[in-house]
Amino acid sequence: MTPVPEGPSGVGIGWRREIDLTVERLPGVDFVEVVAEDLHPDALPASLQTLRGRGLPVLPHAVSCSLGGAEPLRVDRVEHLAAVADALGAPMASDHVCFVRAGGLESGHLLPVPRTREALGVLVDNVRAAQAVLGVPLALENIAPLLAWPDAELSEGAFLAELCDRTGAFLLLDVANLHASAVNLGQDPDEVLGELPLDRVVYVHAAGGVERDGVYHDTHAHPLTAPVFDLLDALCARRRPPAVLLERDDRYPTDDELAAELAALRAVHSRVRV
Amino acid sequence: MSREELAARQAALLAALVADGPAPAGIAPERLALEAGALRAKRRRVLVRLLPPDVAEALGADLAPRLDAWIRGNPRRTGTSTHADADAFVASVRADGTLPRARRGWRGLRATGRSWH
Repeated sequence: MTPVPEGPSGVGIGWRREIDLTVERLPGVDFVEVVAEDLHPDALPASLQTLRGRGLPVLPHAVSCSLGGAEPLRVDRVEHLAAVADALGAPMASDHVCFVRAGGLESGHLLPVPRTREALGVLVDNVRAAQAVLGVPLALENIAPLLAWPDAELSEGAFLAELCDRTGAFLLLDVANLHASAVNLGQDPDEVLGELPLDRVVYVHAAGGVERDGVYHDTHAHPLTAPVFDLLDALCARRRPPAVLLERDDRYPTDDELAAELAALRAVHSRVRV
Repeated sequence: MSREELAARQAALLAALVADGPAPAGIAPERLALEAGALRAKRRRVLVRLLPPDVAEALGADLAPRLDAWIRGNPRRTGTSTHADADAFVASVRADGTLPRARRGWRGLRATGRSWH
């Protein structure tokens, strides 16, 4: 059961220009996700039109709304996401629980927010403002942190749960990022899962990474690892999410290897549990 | 902590990560260094993908150190797109005469542009 009308189900993969033909050819792709900032709503790539023509949901995923940023929300970034979602006929859109700009600088990548009441209030305000711009439901993704702010007042699970509760937003739960939080910040991923509103998960991200010197790097450039499969399994045992999506952004493997990873995700996702 | 204080703390963290700002209190220095390295690596990957092939080929083995110097010396300002960032890097290379005018085509792009990240 998907919490979002017409939301994704089954197994998907992140569409990237470098693997556009691969994505079109791969067996067992039920939906795709695209990075909203890579697209112009008036000039969608032909490959995405092809996939849309087959009836595949194409879901826009943003990286630049900076919903956790304490500076005024850049409404133009949200409007771009809304326009891309509209052009794709997407049933939902997403961005991250993070900030990417502050003090006149762009980070270029997702940075964590302090898990404080104040930061939560900022997120609630920004998410509500974004929802007012978007014509579709908004899902929020947990990020892979490399560092932690001091003085956290809430656990990651409680923080995300309250954010969803106060805004009505949905969750795009990334199990690789959950693993990153476990390794890098010492969080117990099972405790996080226990606190999250799993009925609000629209789909799950899974990606590969590497652990070096006790730090997990969420590279999207390596094969999926056992802990990520285990977390997907643990999540499904608690409550099966409607869908799971493979993210691969670099060092692309052969089509066969990608197909095998999709099949492995499907096996865990669809396993009958008693 | 007010919203303004949070904005200031976020700005201080980002400045420490990409613009040689002082390390904020309470964040482990080794993690700060890790995150700064991750942000530089991410920006390098994005820039390499956006460079015209003649730039990557002309710079050859100099591409990686030139990009690193660019990234460290020119934090990306709000409102600057990744395309504008790549254009500015190319302009900096052309400005110092490193880059020959003649375009040599696409051959060699992968070998020079994607071998080091």
